[in-house]
Amino acid sequence: MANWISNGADTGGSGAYSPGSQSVGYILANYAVANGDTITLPTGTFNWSTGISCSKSITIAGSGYAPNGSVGNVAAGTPSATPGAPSLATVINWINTGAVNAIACTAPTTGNLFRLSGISFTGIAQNSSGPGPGYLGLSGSPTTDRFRVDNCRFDMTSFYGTMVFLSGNQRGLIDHCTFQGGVACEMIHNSANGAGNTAGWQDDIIPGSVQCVYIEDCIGQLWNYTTQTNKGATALIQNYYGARTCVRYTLLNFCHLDVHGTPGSVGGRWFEFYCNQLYLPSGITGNQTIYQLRGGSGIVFNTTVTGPGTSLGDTTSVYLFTDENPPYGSTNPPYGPGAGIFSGGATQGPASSPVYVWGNGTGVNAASTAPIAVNSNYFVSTTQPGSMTISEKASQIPATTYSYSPYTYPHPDTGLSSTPGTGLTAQTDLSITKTLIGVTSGAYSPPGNNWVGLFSTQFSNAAKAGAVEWLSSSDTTYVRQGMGASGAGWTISAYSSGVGVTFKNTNLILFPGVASNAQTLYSLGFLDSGTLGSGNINFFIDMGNNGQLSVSIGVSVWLPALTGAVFTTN
Amino acid sequence: MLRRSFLAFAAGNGLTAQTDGSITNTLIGKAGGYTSPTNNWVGCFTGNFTAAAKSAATAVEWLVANDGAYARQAMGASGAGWTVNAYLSGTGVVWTNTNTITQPAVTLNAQTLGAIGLMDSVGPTGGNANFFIDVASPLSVAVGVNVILSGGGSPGLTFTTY
Repeated sequence: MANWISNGADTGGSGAYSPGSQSVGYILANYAVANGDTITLPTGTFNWSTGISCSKSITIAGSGYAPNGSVGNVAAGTPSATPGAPSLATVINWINTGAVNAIACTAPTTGNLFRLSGISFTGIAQNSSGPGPGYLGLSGSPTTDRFRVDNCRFDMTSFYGTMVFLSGNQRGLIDHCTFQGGVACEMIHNSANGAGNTAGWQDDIIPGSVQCVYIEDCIGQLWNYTTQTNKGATALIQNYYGARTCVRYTLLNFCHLDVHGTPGSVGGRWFEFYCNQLYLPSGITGNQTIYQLRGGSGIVFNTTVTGPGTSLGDTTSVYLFTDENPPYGSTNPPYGPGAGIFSGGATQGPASSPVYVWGNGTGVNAASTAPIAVNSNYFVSTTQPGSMTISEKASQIPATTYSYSPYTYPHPDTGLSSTPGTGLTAQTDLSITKTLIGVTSGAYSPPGNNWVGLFSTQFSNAAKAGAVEWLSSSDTTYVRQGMGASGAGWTISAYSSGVGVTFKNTNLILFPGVASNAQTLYSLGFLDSGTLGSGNINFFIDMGNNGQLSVSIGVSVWLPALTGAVFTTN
Repeated sequence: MLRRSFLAFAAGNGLTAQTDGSITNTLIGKAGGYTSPTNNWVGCFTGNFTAAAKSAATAVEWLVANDGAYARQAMGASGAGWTVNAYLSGTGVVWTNTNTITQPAVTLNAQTLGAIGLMDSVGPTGGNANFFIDVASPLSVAVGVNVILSGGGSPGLTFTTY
């Protein structure tokens, strides 16, 4: 562990500091930093003019959410800062406009994880000339150490370019991060094996596996997205040259996901896009796709659209077309979309491994441009087909069938529970047990009232503890809501055979509108005290499916009467 | 928006229906809550409480008139007789009987053991069954035979609060 004691003058990488400045670059150059070590950055805003390079799998962590890390918990994977949400207190302002990253890491193979966490990046990431170095560059291969980038904010405001540049088909995870850029911004650029390199089309693909770069629980947004009418080519991620990417449970504020084909080169290889949501502002006039698929193959499902545009009848599309140079099907390997593995110099044809699209919400349409055709290059259905055709392994040539299952969510590298919980907290499990058998010391104390609290992280089914409650220092109107003394506020049903005793909130429970910073709602706790920071959490409800809600300023959390919180004792 | 939650005991093994109701009141601080027993007495029942009814009335306790030696066995005052483990992630709080519990040998008539009930009074009748364990295949207990619940490392009674 290397603790960086800032003198407030760090300017980034080598040559731009004196030994006393203790910059990240100085630590890397002069301390025996080993794989698995952590460099902790302090609170502050630092203008970096030179970048740092790293070839070790270390953790570079900011100080967490403001103020002074007391809001949120980076280690616990607090969901990312939505616009206006608790801000990250460590800010790197990247003022270099040349072809260099603020932080660049080339992955070794050590069994460790490279992690970047809890830092806000601002400034003009590059010279606005297109894909290239930006805030962060990560390179490796499918067999080198993986990366995790979490709880960071990457913000180019209205400028366009690339903020995170990935190369080598290194495996990794980007979670709970917020990206913002201007029109045509390629916020994340996955260059995979590089232009003209067919290596990424010759290895085996295993759907729903760790092979992908995973982007989950993130926000991608076009600058000023609520008033824009044409997002153009603005993309959270663009995938090239054999890339394989999964984007899930991510909010796209008027930007899209792109699997590229580049005429004369090779396209992205594999994609899994699901459970994402697109926000459409009103009055859109231009590109309205959510997934722009011009190469490779994969699956797309459970996509929804929201925002005022939907009330005007605006829709979004899963749009498939090809970037191949004509004549179509002449490229080796072919782009597809719907193309399979390129093996032994032989192509399986541009529709050998179709794309499957299913279960998308109202206002999400599938469309294509010839020669890409439905029921050939891709299939559309309301539910997942029982059997799907695939040709992504040498052993699957010419094609076989498979049944898709998503990779573990949350990604195991988050350390978060994959099973949200509900019910008694771990503490209550113990105290109520003592009550049941008559042990007096440590027995459960019935609450004088039940207060409902809001939490920004989950309790989880395993720990049933540890969630972080909202703070009045972050949301000045936040207070726990009392349900009523002596059990008032609960409706208890008589024991029902095979069901048990059900109890539910009798009345609407309404929290004040969020005032000062947007919040994240991950779980509810029922406490025995109305004083923030005090009392016991007796029972809880995590949001289902590990989902969390972003609660914007002015928005109230409310639990409808008789359905908001339902428990059963059985 | 929010899901149903279960305060979990496995059906057919856990709280009685009556305790489901009273412990719910306790959890939320309402009158009519659970009364902690001063001691836990182990009773024998002919049938199952069943997963649906979870009722001592359904199970029917042994009677002295039928087994002249029958008596509920006390485990110890104030929770003594139970070993309560700390919460274990993903498992919950496991609690077991610490010591061996031995019923007197059956006299008069052979009995059927369909369930064990944990009672809040010495009995041999009356009181409340707080929690129970059904025997999946009821056992015949011949005259002269004792019902024994082992303790220690192979406890006869194991519950989990989760």
